[in-house]
Amino acid sequence: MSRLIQDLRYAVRMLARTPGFTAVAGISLALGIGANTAIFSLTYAVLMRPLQVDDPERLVTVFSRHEGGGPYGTSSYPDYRDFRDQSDVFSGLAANTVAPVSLSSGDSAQVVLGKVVTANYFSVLGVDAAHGRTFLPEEGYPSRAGDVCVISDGLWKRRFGADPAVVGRNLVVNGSPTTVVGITPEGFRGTWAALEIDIWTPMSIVERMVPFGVDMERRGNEWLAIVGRLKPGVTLSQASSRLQVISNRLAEEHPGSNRNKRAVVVGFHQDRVPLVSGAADAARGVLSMLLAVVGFVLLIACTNVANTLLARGVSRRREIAVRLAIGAGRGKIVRQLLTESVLLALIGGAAGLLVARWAMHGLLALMPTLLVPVRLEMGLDVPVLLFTLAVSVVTGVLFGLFPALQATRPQLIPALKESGALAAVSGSRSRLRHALLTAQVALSLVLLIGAGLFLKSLWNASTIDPGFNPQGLLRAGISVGLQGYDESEGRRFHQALLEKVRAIPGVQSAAWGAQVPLGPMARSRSISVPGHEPREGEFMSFGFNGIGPSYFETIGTPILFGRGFLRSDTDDSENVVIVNEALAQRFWPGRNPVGNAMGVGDVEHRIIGVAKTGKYRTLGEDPTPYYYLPLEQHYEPLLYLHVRTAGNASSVLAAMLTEMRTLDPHIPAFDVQTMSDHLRYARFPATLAGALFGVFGALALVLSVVGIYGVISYWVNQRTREIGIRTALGAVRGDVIKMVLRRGLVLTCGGIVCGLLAAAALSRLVARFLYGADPLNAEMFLGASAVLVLVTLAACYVPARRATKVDPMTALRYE
Amino acid sequence: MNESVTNDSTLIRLHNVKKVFLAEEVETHALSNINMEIRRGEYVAISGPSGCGKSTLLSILGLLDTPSEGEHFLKDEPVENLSASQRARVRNREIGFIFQAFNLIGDLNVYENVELPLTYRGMPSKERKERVKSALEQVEMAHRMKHYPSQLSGGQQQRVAVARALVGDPAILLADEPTGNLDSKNGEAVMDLMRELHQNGATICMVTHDPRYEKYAERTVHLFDGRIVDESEAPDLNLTTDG
Repeated sequence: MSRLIQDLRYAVRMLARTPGFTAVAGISLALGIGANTAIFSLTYAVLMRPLQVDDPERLVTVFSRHEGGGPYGTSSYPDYRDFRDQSDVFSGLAANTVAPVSLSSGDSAQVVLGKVVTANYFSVLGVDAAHGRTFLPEEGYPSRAGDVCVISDGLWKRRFGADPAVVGRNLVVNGSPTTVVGITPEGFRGTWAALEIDIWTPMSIVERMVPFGVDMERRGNEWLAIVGRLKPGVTLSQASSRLQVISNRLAEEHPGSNRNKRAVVVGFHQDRVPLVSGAADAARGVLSMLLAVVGFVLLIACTNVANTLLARGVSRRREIAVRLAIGAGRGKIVRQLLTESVLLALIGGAAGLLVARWAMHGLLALMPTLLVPVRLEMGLDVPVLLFTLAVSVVTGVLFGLFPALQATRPQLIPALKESGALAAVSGSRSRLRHALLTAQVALSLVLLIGAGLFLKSLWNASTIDPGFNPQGLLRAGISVGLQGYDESEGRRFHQALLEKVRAIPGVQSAAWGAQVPLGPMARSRSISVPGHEPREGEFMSFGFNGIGPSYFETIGTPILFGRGFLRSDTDDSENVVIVNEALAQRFWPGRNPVGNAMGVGDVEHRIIGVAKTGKYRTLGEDPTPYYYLPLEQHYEPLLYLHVRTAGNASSVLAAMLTEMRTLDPHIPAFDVQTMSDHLRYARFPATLAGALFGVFGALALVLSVVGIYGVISYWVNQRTREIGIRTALGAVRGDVIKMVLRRGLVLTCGGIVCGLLAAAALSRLVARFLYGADPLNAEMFLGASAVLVLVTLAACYVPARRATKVDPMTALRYE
Repeated sequence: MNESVTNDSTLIRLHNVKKVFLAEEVETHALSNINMEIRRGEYVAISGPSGCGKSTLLSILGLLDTPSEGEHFLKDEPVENLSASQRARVRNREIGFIFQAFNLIGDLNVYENVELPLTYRGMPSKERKERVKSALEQVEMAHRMKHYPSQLSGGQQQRVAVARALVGDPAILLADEPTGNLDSKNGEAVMDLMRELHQNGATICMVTHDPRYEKYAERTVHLFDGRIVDESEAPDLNLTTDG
């Protein structure tokens, strides 16, 4: 211990003696470690924050996977019930769905995110209410038994000032009085820590809670996420096998809904965000990429510091030789040098925490307003601090070990005799420095190419035609279902509001739609095409939207053939459907499908129009088959009012909300924004990737400049005498500058070649995150290389100029 | 050295040359009122104790440094006010340096080291090759062309350094303690080589503090405290020229 203190004391003294080196190295490390801390904090908040549940290792998620469909499918209530009742591998199996919930108070209503759950939900998770109770078994199925809810600790504190008397009190939930029976423990978020759920209601009131309306007993209606707890001793594969047997039986008994469908069991320890379809994959993909990127930045910073330490090792050769000569063991000196480098890394880590705080603010500022309240608790809490500490120590060892080993291998006699200024560099040390620089340039080039690709992708995302005209287009979500309206009341409200909004000055047109293009929610339903026999495994389920008259005119999507929906397309008339161009081309290639029949579910519809293909899920998607159903024939209680305005959108918005309140003050509008703002949401992945890659690419470039400058400066210093000789032999200023620049370029070129190969190899990993940008874009590769060459020349120029000032007299006097 | 030797023609002339170094407001007079001439084909030694100004004088003669005062003529042209790049050009064409520490560049092989002055002259590759080969043959190092300095003995390195000094066909060879880093056997060999070069017409100016080697020169200029205090001829070493 006393040796450690002695080493530490000496390390502090050494670092204090060279404040310039300490500052530059500390800043390099702070940027690298800070970037890692920030991205780790984000990763932790999204994927790793422990759930406030009992023994999460035994919790699993059960997905329904259709052949040819997505891997994270939800399940129907009958399927859930069969899994629950026919399997013996779970001590409990619960189902739930996420739903926006209206909480009314006085003349205002607020939408919060809620979950409708089976009665055993809390017991499966092993969570008790902090106040009151959770749900009773009899509240687990639609009945009059329980107009009850459990609220979150956050809502309890935020809205009710942590008043314990709230338990037992009635809240107006979706227009009906609902009794608060319990409050969850602090920090409980359900099964995804990043999603802020404020209210849980049991299946007893599911009809009131789920805005799209559910038919609990229809097996094809897949709307539930299933979470289970394995019985002690049961493994994941045993559970999977058991559910597979049940799935096979269900497929035989219910071929219409369950053919080619199987249950997949995934452990919580494998997947902390299992309940949002596909979200885990996307989040994991993006965050893995970001962690790799900041890892690269840290490696670049490490190579910088390692290179500087190698140079310092040369200047400290004599000191180390003296220590070795008087009997210090090599291990002791390595330990002392490592103490210095780890101390330096810890200083960098401490400063990195500040960088991380700024970076976290920046990351949160990039977040668009989401329909779903995502709560990213990014902060410097214990796990993040431990991560930073670990990264700092590993970093210190990483950049300090090789220089320490090199420095403790001097040839004693020459080292003791030589003057410090003339210390020669051993070939291996020089090679190591050059190898480090090559690695640094290669990493920087990879990040630069990445930055270029993602900035190009961002540019593409901002110029991609979304299939509608966002200029002057507003939208507001309105759910009459939340207020308990039945279909006829809902239709009356929709029509009345539409007429009032259309009369607002500045409104050019208005229409209802159940989905917002590029929104977070997406639905699909199977279709059938007469004369088309689906191939084995062909996925015939496509995205669709329910829309009202004037929808295409309002959002600015052209109808290519036929017509849009009319008010006369009602239940009393023929069922009609509009398809997009991609769907038309897939099933009626080269033909106009208007007038043809198409089955939606089990019902035949007549195609009356073909709309231009737009973007439905993501801006980067390929042309995707899609279709539209008339709301007049397919009623939906949760709709978005789309309004095209000619003038000031915000004044129209205010007038629209006023009109709504005059019709019913208890119906809340949610997700109210312009479609231009909405596109920010759609562009968020591209914006985030572009911004982060841009920042990290620039950071890598800066660190590389520092690294190249350092290596070339050192190289020039080492060659003072050579430059003197050359000058004596007649080299003019230009010759010396050329020599130094050539050296810089030779060193950089190796890195560029390695970087190009690495970038080409890694490009396929980022391809899926790019919007219309070729991951092997030759111009980008060449451009980034050219930038690096220019930066190298700039970084070499200062040492090169200094080299021209070498006085041959002085240089040659070194003997 | 192909030009014919004319002993009476002056190659270098210094007139009232002074060199003053300023360090922390202290003036150090390294050279005072130096008046000297070096004639074409002459072999001059500059001797004196340590710190007497020998190397400073050689640096001024080699245009590595400029006098603080006085005039400096090379081939009757004043050179004391030339710019750095003009001096570099003159050094490259007119002066060949031989240093005590050889000063070969470790990353370059023997051929490349000797070729270096010609490269700075912008000479075509073919001509460079011929000249380098010839210079190395002159010092009997042609067989070590591909070797690196670290693979050569001290004597061999100094022979390569002499070849590098010769290759540009300079007007004068300036040698700064050329035997200082060599053992006596190799030192003698290098001195013999320089005598041979001189006998073939080379003008040589050598700094030495070793009395054994002064006798190789025709004339020795003795410096003390920055002044020329004596000049002596070496009558026992008659100059033999081709002419």
